[in-house]
This record gives sequence, C-alpha cells and structure tokens, in this order.
Amino acid sequence: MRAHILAILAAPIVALPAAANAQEEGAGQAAYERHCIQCHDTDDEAVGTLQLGRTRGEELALLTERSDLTGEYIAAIVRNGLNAMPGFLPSELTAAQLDALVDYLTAASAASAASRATQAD
Amino acid sequence: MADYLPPGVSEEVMAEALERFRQVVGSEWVFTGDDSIPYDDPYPVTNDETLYRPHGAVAPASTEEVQGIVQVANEFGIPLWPVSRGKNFAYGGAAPVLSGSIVLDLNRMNRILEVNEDFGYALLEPGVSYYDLYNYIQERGLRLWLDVPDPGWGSVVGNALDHGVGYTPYGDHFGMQCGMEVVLGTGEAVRTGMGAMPGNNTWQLFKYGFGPYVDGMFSQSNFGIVTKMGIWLMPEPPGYRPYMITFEREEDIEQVIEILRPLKVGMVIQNAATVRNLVLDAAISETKSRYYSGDGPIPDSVARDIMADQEIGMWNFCGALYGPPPVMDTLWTVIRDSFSAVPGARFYFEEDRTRRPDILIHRAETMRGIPKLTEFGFLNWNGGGGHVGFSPVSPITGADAIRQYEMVSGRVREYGFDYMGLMAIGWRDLHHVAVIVYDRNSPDERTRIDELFKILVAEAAAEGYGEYRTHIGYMDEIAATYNWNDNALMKMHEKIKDALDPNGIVAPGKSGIWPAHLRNTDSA
Repeated sequence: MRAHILAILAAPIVALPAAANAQEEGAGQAAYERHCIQCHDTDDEAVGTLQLGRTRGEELALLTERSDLTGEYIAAIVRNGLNAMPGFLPSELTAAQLDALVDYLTAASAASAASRATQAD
Repeated sequence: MADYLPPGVSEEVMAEALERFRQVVGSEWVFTGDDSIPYDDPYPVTNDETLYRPHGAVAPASTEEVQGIVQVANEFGIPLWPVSRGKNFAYGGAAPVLSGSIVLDLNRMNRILEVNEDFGYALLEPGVSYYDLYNYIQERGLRLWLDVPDPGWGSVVGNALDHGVGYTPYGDHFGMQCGMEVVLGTGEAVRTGMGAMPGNNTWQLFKYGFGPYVDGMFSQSNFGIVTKMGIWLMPEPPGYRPYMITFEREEDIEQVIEILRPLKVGMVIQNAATVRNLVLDAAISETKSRYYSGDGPIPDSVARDIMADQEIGMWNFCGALYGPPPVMDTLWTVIRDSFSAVPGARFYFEEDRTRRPDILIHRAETMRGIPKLTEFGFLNWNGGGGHVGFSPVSPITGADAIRQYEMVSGRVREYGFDYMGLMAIGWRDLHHVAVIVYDRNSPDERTRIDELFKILVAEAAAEGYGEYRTHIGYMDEIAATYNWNDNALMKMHEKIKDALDPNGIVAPGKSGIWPAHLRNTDSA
C-alpha cells in the first residue's frame, strides 16, 4: 500500500481535462462539500488547510486553488489517506463520485491558475 | 495487496462466498483487492502487516440484505466485521480484529427513519453520520440539538454502540439510546424493548419493554448486527452560555476534580464536562515545531510559553450553561465561586477570547451539538498523524485523577511522547482519555506505542483501573483484566455468543470474545 502511494507521489504532474459536463461538475462539487470541505475549507479551524499551509506553504494550502495535483494523485490520497488524513471507503464515496470529485478539483485549480495568470497580466 | 484469508477458509471457498455476496447486494458493492485498502487501519499500532487485514468488504443497503449476507457467511464460514461508518479511528477504523474477515460496511444503510420534535428522538440506520442528522434537523428548522463526539463524521449509532461520549447534558450516548433492531448471527431479526410488540408506538420512548433488558448486550459486542437504533435528542434550550476555566499547575487537577464531583453529581454542572490538558488543547490549532525543536516531550519551560501564547492553562475546563437566563446566572455563580478556590483560576466567556483559532470558541460549538472535525488538528502535533486512545475509568476523586495522571503521563513521556489527555466526567465516573499521538509512518514509533500501551493496561489494572473502550489490537488484553471469579463474565459472554451466533461469524475477537472454533487458537 505504501509503495503504491510513493509511486503516485513520484509521478510527473500533468495537466488534466476539466469537468466533462455540468452534471459531473455538480456531482463533484457535492462530493467535495460532503467529504472534503470540513477539513479543507478557508476558515481558521480547517485542519487540512492549516496543515498544508504549514508543510507546503500558503500558496498550496487550499485544495481548490492548487494547480499541482494530478487526478491520479488526488484519487490515491482520497483512498489511502496521508499522515493525519484517513482514506475514504468506496461505499461512502463511490468510484463514480471520486471521478467527479477529481474533475471538480482539477477544474477548480485550472480556473484558479487562469485567474492568477490574468491578475499577473 | 496480499489477499488475507480467515482460518479454515480456502481461496476457492472465499471466491464462492464473494460471488454469493454479489448476488445479495450487487457486484458494485463487494470490494476486494486494491478496492478494499481503505478498510485497513489508517493508524496501525503494529509493524506486523499480517494483522488486522480484511479480505474485502460488502456493503448492504437494507436489513434484508444484511440477513442475506449473514446467511451466506454461515453457509461458507466467513467471518464478518460489522462497521457503521468505519470511522472509529483511534480504535482501528474499519479494520477487523481477525485478518481475512469481510468488513460488513453499513454506510449505505443511511436512512433517517424518523425525527420526532415533540418527544425529542430519532430512529436511525447505522450509516447516518452526525453531519447527516444535523443537516436534516437544520434544513427542517427543528428545535432539537444533537450531542456530538469530537469528530462529526462518525455514525450516531456506531458511536453509541461503542460507548462514545459527547459534551452536552446528553453526553452519555448509549444512555440516550432507546430501542434497536438487531440481526443475530443466525440471521434472525429482533426488535428490542417496545419494538417487540407489533403496532406499539413507544419503541423510542420507553427503553425496557417487558422482561430482560437486552440492548446493552449488543454494544461493544459481537452477538448481533444493529440495523436500526433510537436515540434521544435534546430540546433546544432557551439559553446557552459556554465558558472556560483555566488552571495553572499540573497538580491542580486533584483539587479541580474534587470541586467538580459534587457540582456534577448534583447537576449544577449540566453537561458532560471535560478537563483537558495543555498540549491537547494547544495542538488543536498549532504544531509542536512552532514551540519546540528538541527531541522527546516538551519541557516545562515550553509548556509555560504555550500557556502564554494561547492564553490557556495547564488544565482547561470547558463547560456550558443551558436554560433560561436566570437559571444560568444562578448556576454560574455557584460554579465560579466553587472554582475560585483554586489559586490562579481564570474564567472566560466567548467574548473574552480574542485569539483565532481559539479553544473555547471551538468547544462552544461542540458543546451545543454542532458536528465538526476541528479536533483532528491535534493529530498534526508531531506531523505523523497516528493516534491511539488509552481510556481507563475511575471514581470522580482528586486522588484518582492525580494518580492516573501521574501514572499515564509519566509512562507516555518516558517513551518519548507528549502527554495529551482529558478527564471526562460522567454521571458518577471519570473517564481519563489519554491520546497518544505518533508518526504512523515510523516503525520505531509503532514499536514504542505497542510496548507502551501494554504497560499502561497492566499498570492501570494493577491499580484497579479498567479501560472502557479500546483499539482492536488490545481487545484481548483489556478483556483479560475483567477477570473476577475465574473469568466468570467472559465465560458468560462465550455462552451467549455460542447461543446467538453458533457458527461464530459475527466479529470474531470483538471485545476479546471469540467464537468456540477459534478459542484458545493462535487467532485468539
């Protein structure tokens, strides 16, 4: 299991397609809000955001604003967990919901990166 | 990943059983191979990777499907490990005691069957989380409060069945349970209490029904699979005022608990009160490295720095007042005057706290039943994320509190960890919950945790302190300490186990109770 995670961590970061359609995006956002936001929100008690800020830096603290996460990496962490974060069971977050979540996060991060680029211009 | 098999079950038999499980629930709800990795214990306390490993999981959506799975398990001799949501993380998560078991994952049974505002109760399936129930109540504007444990994503049913606690006046979760439906190891469904009478309308109102009261038999047990449960909910009070009292010295815990006992037993303190130590509270919002870069537990000088930085004490008592304002005012006068006897005690309401995040601001939400995950912050204290709870019970006396604190904190620090603990005061008991946080990726720390935990169990038992709940890795050790009269209680458990689950397919090893065919074997 740990070897699998390390393999994913070592994988090159590549761009991923945005959410296929609005229905998937809605499902992905719903999955994010049900399973992720409690720890990865913007408020001052969001333990995942706080810890990512400490360990990766503030620019990588918020999941929806990161552009360095591959879909494969997101899926691996969701299922296997990482450090304090435990993995999520396939009964509570199905394979289809995980796919939608990955699409949602990668689309959100792409939009965030585009916004930053526009601001830089 | 390796495919672990239970004792006496071949690959061929398991494959046939899995096929039959697929026929019961649909192939998409049977998980094996890499799909079953999330069912492993995320915070292992052993370096033996063959322990506590499921073969796979099956996720039914109804009581009838649970019965179908139990029937197949009996036919093929497959051990099932039921979990409600699988989030009992300080105690093993969804992982089974016996490797090769199939996790019976009840997440899909997540229906809120009834919420009654007038009487204040809910009837739930085991897959309902605290968040689910909270959102249901909020969306409908019902004037009911939950009582939540620290992590809000767990199962309401599962937490009560494992004797979990919360922080409102309804903090004794199993004490607030009323009526259940259980699938026995034979596959037969039973309703307890008033639920046994067809057409009765007091299943969630009167616990005891007629004849022996059996609900407790299905908590922390492997006598059956709970598929529905009633839980009482607190009516929204007319007023709510959370507070925190801080104490400066380690030894203050003795006097604090002496003051707490009459206030709690006499119900002046209304809620399930907790006195938490410095590091546990500090770790909610900060990591150790912010204050200390040395090895081992923090020295006293650093503890003082943390107290000043976060404006908290060596011990912090968070409580709350509930009721009409004049009642709250009167209760607060008694509480404040009582604790003023402790030199250096400081008193805070929410408006007195300016730092963010802040422990009282956070606990104020928990003590009014808002589910959260903020407490997971303390897992980041060392950066490695692992944690395990050691939870002995004692009387509510200062002498017991200081004795437990010295025993446990001394050993924890001797093994190189910081002491993180709380004293939770129930109706007549003191739960001392010491959480040991470690690096789950470090073989050395896992080795030390395992050795430390076994010492703590033995030393506590020698002083007459028994654990109320434990990790799957220590259930045999804890059960062995409850051995009065030549293990009479365990012998009785085994007789019940053999009667209700004759093939021993429900949760072998849960709470140290093994089925006949596995007793006194290498598996047990």
